[in-house]
Amino acid sequence: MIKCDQLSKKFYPSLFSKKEIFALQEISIEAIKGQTYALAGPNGSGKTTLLSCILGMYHPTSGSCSINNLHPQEAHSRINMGYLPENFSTYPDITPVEAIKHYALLSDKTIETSAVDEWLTKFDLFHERHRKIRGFSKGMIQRLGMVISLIHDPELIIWDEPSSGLDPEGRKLVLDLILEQKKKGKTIIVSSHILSDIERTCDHLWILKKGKLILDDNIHIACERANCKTVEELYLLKIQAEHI
Amino acid sequence: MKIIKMSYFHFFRIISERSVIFILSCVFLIGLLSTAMRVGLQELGIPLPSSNTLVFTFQLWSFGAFLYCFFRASGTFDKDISLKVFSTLITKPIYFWEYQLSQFLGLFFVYIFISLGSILLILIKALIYKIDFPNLFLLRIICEWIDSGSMILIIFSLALVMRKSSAIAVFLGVYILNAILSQTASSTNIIVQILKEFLYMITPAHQNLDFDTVSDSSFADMLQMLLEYISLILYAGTMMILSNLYYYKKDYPLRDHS
Repeated sequence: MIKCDQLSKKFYPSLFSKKEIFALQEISIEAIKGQTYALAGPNGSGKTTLLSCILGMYHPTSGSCSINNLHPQEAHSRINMGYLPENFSTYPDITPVEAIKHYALLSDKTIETSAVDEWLTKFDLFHERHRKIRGFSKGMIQRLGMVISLIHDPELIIWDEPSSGLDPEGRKLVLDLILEQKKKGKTIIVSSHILSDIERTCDHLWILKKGKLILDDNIHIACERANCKTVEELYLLKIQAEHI
Repeated sequence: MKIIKMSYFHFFRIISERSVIFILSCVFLIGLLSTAMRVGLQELGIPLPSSNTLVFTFQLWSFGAFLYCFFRASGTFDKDISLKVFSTLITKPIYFWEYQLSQFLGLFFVYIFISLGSILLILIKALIYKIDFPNLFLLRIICEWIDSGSMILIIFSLALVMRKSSAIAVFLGVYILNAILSQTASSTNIIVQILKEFLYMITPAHQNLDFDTVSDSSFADMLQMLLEYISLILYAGTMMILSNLYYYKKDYPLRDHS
């Protein structure tokens, strides 16, 4: 489904700066249909940059990336994709119903108002459906982002820190949703700092540190191999052991 | 079809803003009130306005609509990127040019909507003032509209991709250039003529046609106006393609890496 081959990305702090920042260094990963992947790593390790390269928002400095054998910048490659950014945002002067319908339209799907209402009820936003997004709290906007990423029933779901800004109830909703989509056979990539959630929902773990991939393995196999009881233990072991 | 629906979304999003509805309603009501006042003042011996006054009102309204749409357009892409609206949009199966064109058309529809309001007002005024309606008057209004509409196409295409300050600079530059070119219109100096033609080619400046005498215009004049209009559309298209290439080659600045 997704394949990254020797993917590297570097940035220059300013136009005339010679200093290079290596955000990603020779990352080779593959995501297979129906599996759930977790992307973990310390702050600034390159998680969002990797997702941005996969989504075609960044041009890789070297290496390549493909979605269903298509270049990420081909619009067709994104037809069956649902993405939730770290801090979801949309036009503030529209209602959630208008936003959902608009984003569904962009994904070539026409959604009936009754279906939108069902989704809004599920995400506890039904009573806010005629209110402008401008007045929404961070958690409400994040939940709206989740609806938008799932409304067109995508095959590939990419969520970048979905629990950010959510209360415990919202966090539980995220977990339930991941498990629900997993049951439906969807391919899911979740970037998260909450390792207990990763342990409960994901099959595979990618750990990034300073732009390098230091773990690419099945969660249970990796835990057994490293003799760790939890993903948190495994994560700390890997992060502290790797001197990059 | 998707682009038209997206344009409608942007059009509707702007038009449904309370401030826009409020300002438009106020201007329309003031326009109607002033008409009523002028009719009332007629009894005191003050004559009703001529068609020229109404055309001036229309020009003023059009300029206001243009300024509003221009400021609304400028920095649109930058704003979408900084507000992180763009990061969700661009992960949908649309190309950047589709997003760009829909924003452009959305704003253009807003401009047309506001202009239609002014045409309605002017027509009501013309009916009340019993000005030669609709033949000559309607034609003049439409010609005025086309004239300013062509300029709008250019300016919007530039403003969308620019930051507000750059867009204002371009706007002023084009108007100053336009003024200079109008001054040199009758010059017989060959160098001035060549320079003028060159500036016409490389800038969105256009010749000032006198639409007040449009009823006397020959077929050649109308053809020239049409060709000029087409060339301006092509110019706007070129600007959009160039800016599209610029954004295509660029990483969308989703984060500050400094």
